[in-house]
Amino acid sequence: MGRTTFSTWSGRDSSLRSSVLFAALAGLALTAFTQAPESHVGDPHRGKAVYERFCTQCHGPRGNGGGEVAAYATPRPRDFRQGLFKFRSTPFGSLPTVADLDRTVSHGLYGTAMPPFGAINPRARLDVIAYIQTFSPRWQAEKPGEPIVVTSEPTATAASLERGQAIFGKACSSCHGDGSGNGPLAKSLVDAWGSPDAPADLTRGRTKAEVRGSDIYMRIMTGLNGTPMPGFSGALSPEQAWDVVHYVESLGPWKESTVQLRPAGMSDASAMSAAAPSAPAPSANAAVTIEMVGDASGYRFVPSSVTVHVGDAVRFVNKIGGPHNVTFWPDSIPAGAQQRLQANMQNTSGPLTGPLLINSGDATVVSFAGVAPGTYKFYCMPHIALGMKGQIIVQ
Amino acid sequence: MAQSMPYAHAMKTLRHALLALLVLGAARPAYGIPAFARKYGLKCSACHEAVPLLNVLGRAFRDNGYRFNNGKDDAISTDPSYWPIFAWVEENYQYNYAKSSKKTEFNDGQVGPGFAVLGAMGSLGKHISFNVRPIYAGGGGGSSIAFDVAWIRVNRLFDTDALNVRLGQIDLDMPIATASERDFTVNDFVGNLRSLDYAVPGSHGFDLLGNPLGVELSGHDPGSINRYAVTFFSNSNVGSHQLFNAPSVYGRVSHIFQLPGGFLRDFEVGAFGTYATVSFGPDSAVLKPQVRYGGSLDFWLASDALPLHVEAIGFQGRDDHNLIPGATRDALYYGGDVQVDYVPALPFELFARYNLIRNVTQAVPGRPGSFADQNVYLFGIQHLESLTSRFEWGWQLHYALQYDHLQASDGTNNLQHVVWAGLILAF
Repeated sequence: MGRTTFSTWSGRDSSLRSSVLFAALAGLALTAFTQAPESHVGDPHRGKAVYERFCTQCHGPRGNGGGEVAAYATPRPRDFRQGLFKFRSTPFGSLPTVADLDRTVSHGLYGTAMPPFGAINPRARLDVIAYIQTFSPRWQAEKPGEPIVVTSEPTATAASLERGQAIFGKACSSCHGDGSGNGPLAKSLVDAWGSPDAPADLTRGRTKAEVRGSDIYMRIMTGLNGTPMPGFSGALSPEQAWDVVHYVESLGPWKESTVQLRPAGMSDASAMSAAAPSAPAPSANAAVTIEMVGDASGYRFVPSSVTVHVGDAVRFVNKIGGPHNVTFWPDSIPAGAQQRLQANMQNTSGPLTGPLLINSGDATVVSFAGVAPGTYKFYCMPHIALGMKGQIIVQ
Repeated sequence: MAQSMPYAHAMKTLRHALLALLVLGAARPAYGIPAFARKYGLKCSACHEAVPLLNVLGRAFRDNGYRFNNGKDDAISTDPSYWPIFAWVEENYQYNYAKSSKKTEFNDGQVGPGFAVLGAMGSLGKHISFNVRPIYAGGGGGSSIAFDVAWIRVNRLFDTDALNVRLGQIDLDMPIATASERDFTVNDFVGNLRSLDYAVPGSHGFDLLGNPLGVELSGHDPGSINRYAVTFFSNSNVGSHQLFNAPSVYGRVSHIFQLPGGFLRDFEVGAFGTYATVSFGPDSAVLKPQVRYGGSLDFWLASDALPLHVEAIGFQGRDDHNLIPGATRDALYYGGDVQVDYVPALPFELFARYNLIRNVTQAVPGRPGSFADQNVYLFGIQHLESLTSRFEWGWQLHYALQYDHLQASDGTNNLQHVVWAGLILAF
């Protein structure tokens, strides 16, 4: 048998050295024209492949939150079909910005099954967000809300803690109790997907997406869509919101904890009865008054159904058990009425969402001038899970 | 021509010895860890480009000490049924055909010895992670149990990702998917013939992929875009049983460039090197070096989720002439690997690899310049699927062609064909 020869042995040595050097130089050259992928626009087609690799196990191939893990994940993975996203910079009820969604994808949600995907290419994250936006028709019909700006933080003082405690006692303690999530409503709360939704324990120093004071501020102002946690952007001034932030930061080992500022003997907020800021007095004349009630008999609008005429106004009053608000379902009002109704509402904190009425006696008025006749169904955002809803028939 | 009985017996013994060495020496599998899939409820594909090759998310997870730092890492916060243990069972069939320029060296196929792993890896709190991976390997030559890796890691010293410390039997931070991250078996000798495993003829063995005992300092930034690792280890292949009597160091730095778009999605540039020593002389008091250093490039093309991943490394190796019998000068060679992994659709993967070794300076006078040069070509397909987050199974088929210049028993060129098929179950 003849000697086997291998042509691949030829042309060695110096060419190999050159190849290694060339590879190194090529790598350096490539670095010269790279840039951060900030300007990338998400591509849902590419995003589908990203979604199938990273997301389907929890969120399901159809985006309904029905992946394999859903059966034993608490909280359950998000169902994207409603277009409801909790963690946003936009007003309550509105869609989040892409940056909001990217923040959740990148950082994950602390204490949940949602891990941080910040390691994957930002471009891939934008692609998968674009794909997630295909699951709900809301993304075609609406634009994200205008982001709420985090104002400059005032210096935390003992006085700001006390002011924050007063507001917390009125506006937050029915769910959050003394801060540990042990409020009287805590065990009865459910979210828009029908799952139990316990209030956050604020004494642990960290919640799902909140680490710093600015995060807490944003959550107070925007609320959590699809949950009983309302947005307070229409009810609290920035200064009042910061007061609440400073008080919350005194409850546990937050990154910017203010526990050292707590006055000696400061009681927990659930025992407080100090006055919280009142909602502005409604100026319109109302033909009908609906009381908002939360007591031992349950949470309800009284009456829960009224009939008015086009041009009338309806006054909603926080009678007891607040905070309350009124929010109209966009798909349960006459077609085309949404824009006019939005304009007729006072101090809205989101789409078709009235201000949060914190104190007993706080009120807001909704005018039905110029709207189409029909049935307008509404609910109380903090207490929807407790069945607090009603309707107005406009003739 | 019929072979004589002594020759046949010698060849059989050689094959068995080779097999045993390969089982013991190349025993370093790294498949998807169903324990993590169970714990985090993720598909294996979330962390692996194609199991077991890690993607950037998986690498960041590993760099964080097998933690996502999302408040669900600790056992107390996970499902009570979660245990940080996993099991792999593998069996394979391998067919080998080898010939020199003059004759057939061997020609046979057999069911491999297979292996089983019952390992544990995870984290104990924020600052401690661990990986213990004992392997049971069967086979006609007898069975064995050995540790593939066994280390403990202290995460985030001084509360920063920039400093982590790992101690024990460590899998070094390789610049290219290693045998353990690519091949589907513990005894695949093709996987053991990566250029980084090349040993200069006659010199002391040197195996960067051999998971030595040592201490590693490593760090990274969020997302593991920039990484470094420095390992101080004992060059254990010199027969020593004492840690650090052959002190050696290995290091690697890398950076990933995330591009805004286009066909080239991301790429990584890295550099690595090692200075290993071998005890030398009558009282083993003199240390002589084995040095390897080079660079690496990784390209991810076309798609973020289903990329065409191209890895390339090039390096220079040098062994001190005192380590090579008959040598009058240091041995110098170049090595390089190019590997391509492509996932056309989960859970299928196609892969190919080309390894080369080119000797530049022969340490022993009179040897041809190309003595012990190598070319290895590998092509394969893999299907590895997670049926649930608690169980995955897979198969792999690959073909390898290897040239070893002037390395046959008769002194001529050696040519080997290998066909390999394996099945794995992972829990």
